[in-house]
Order: sequence, then structure tokens, then C-alpha cells
Amino acid sequence: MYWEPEIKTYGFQVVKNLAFYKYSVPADLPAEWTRAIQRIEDEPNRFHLLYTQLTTSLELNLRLLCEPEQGVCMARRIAAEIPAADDRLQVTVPVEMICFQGPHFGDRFGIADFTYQALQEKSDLLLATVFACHSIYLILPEGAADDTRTRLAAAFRIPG
Amino acid sequence: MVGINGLKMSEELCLVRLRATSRGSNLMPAFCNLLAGSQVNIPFLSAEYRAGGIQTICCVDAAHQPMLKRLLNAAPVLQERAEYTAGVGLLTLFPHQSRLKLFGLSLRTLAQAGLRIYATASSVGALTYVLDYARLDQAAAAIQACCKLSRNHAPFKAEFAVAQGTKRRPGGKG
Repeated sequence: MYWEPEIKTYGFQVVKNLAFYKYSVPADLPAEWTRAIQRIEDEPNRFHLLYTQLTTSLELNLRLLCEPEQGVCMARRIAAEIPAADDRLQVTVPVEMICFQGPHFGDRFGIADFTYQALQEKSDLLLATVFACHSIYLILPEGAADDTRTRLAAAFRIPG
Repeated sequence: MVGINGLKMSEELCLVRLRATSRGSNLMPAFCNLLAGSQVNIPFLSAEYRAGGIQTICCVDAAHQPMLKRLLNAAPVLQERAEYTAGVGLLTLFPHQSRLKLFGLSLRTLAQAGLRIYATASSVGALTYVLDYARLDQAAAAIQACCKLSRNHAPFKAEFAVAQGTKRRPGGKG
């Protein structure tokens, strides 16, 4: 059993000037998409966040948050394999990200609720949120991260 | 072959898909507040907000599904927007080292094995897939066939769960 009087986090990481790539991919991953994904695997690119969601129409919404120049390189590789891939792509740039973790975040009820309560009306600005394992990611439009971080820092306790 | 240090499988979960056609519905704060009020943990959640609305995928313990349905039935705004998929589980691989190699390889491997990938998300070090619970062992075997698991490691399920307390100390002063 784990309990703490104020929810702790190990601190907030804010990253700005990122690119948010959104591909819509057939969920059965046809051969050309398999090849395209294989092509980008060995690139030295690093991502900040990736997630997918399967839609009810069996499309896999593939999202990647990365440095803009790395995203351009990745998209070029994919387009080389699938010329029509750009029709399935939306890019939002620049965006900002806040990432934070805390003890047993993935095992405790109320963490997402606490986060949304801390954000208050700032949650209207969110582009995406991901809660996985012990990490929380917020993707925000340009200019929104600093104020959002201030809200979060006022609610969560940062030891030390 | 990509080296990984671990492969973890969750207990059985229920997937809840929430959709709203506009952003202004306060959907996610209301949903998360409802679950917190009933002490329901959300081990996986991704929400995407667009001009056209919100699309959310989250997972809760399978045992909480009936209670969750009752809760959402009492909140019509949420009930109308919720769809359930029973019998899912999480397969977590680590570390991804922020590179696309592990993601690309695992995504291709799972798709080629005919496994339905409901959702994926990276965290600081790990990559988590939401898959059919009944096929988690098959998924783990497929990953082991394409990734090199560190010596003396094997796919594992958590042997205990950490629960959020509601008192200062269980059995102690509140």
C-alpha cells in the first residue's frame, strides 16, 4: 500500500520547438508500410514520444513527437517508399512537451485526475496526453508549456 | 537483433474508448474524476484532442469493468461516448533508448503475427503495447524471436500490485 500526503514527482521536463507527426496507417500494416517502417528503423533519429491508437475504422493512428529536422528526414524516407504517404500525414510544428514521472504513477488511482485538476482550464489547450508506465506526457501548442508547468509545479510536490 | 532488458505482461484489463465530437465537453477531466472517486486506477491512457473532438483509449483492471459501466451509466454524457473491449493486456518492452529501432521491429513483428494492436505508447524507458490478453504469451514469444532478451531474463508478470492508500498509514493514524 502506497500513500503520500502530496503527490510527488521527480520534476518536469519541458521541451520546445518539437514537431508532432501524425500518420494514419492501415492497421494490418500492408507490405509497403512494413518496408517504410523498416527503412526508418536504422536512422539515428530519436523520438521524445510515440503512441498509436487503433480507430474503429481499423486505421492505426501513429503519432511521433520529435525534433523537426529528424521528422523531415523520417517523412522523406517514408515518402520514398510510399509516394502517397503524405496524404496520410499531418504535421504540427512547433509544439511543446511536458514530461514528468513519479513513484508508482502507473499503479495508483487518481494520478490522471490530479493532473487534470492541476491544469484546470489549461487542459483546453492540450493537443495530446499520454499516461503510460510511470510517465505522463502533455503535448501543447507553442507558448503554452511554461504556464502549464507552473500550474503543475504548484500542485505536485518536487522533493529537495 | 535488438537487445532488450525486459518484457513484462500485465494482468487482464478492459479497454475503454471515449470519443467526443467537440473539445468543449470537459470529457477527460470528468472521466478521470469519476474513476478517481471510485479508486479505479488507469494503467494506460492516451488522449488526442483535435478541432473535431477527442479520441481516448484507456485501460482499467478487468474486474472494474462492471463498476465502470455502472458509473458511466449514471453519467449520461460519458456513457454515450464510451465503448468497451474486454480482455486486453499490456506488453511492455524496455528499454527503447528513444530510437525507432525497437518500435519499428516490434510493431512489424506483432502485425505480421496477426496480433491486433489496440494502442501503443512510449514512456521514459519503455514501450507499451495494448493487445488481446489471450494472445499476450504469443506476442511475448514473437518479440523474443526478434529481440535478444538479456541473459537470465524472461517475460514476467508482476507478482504483486502496488495499491494507492487512502490513509496516512494502513492501520495507523489517519
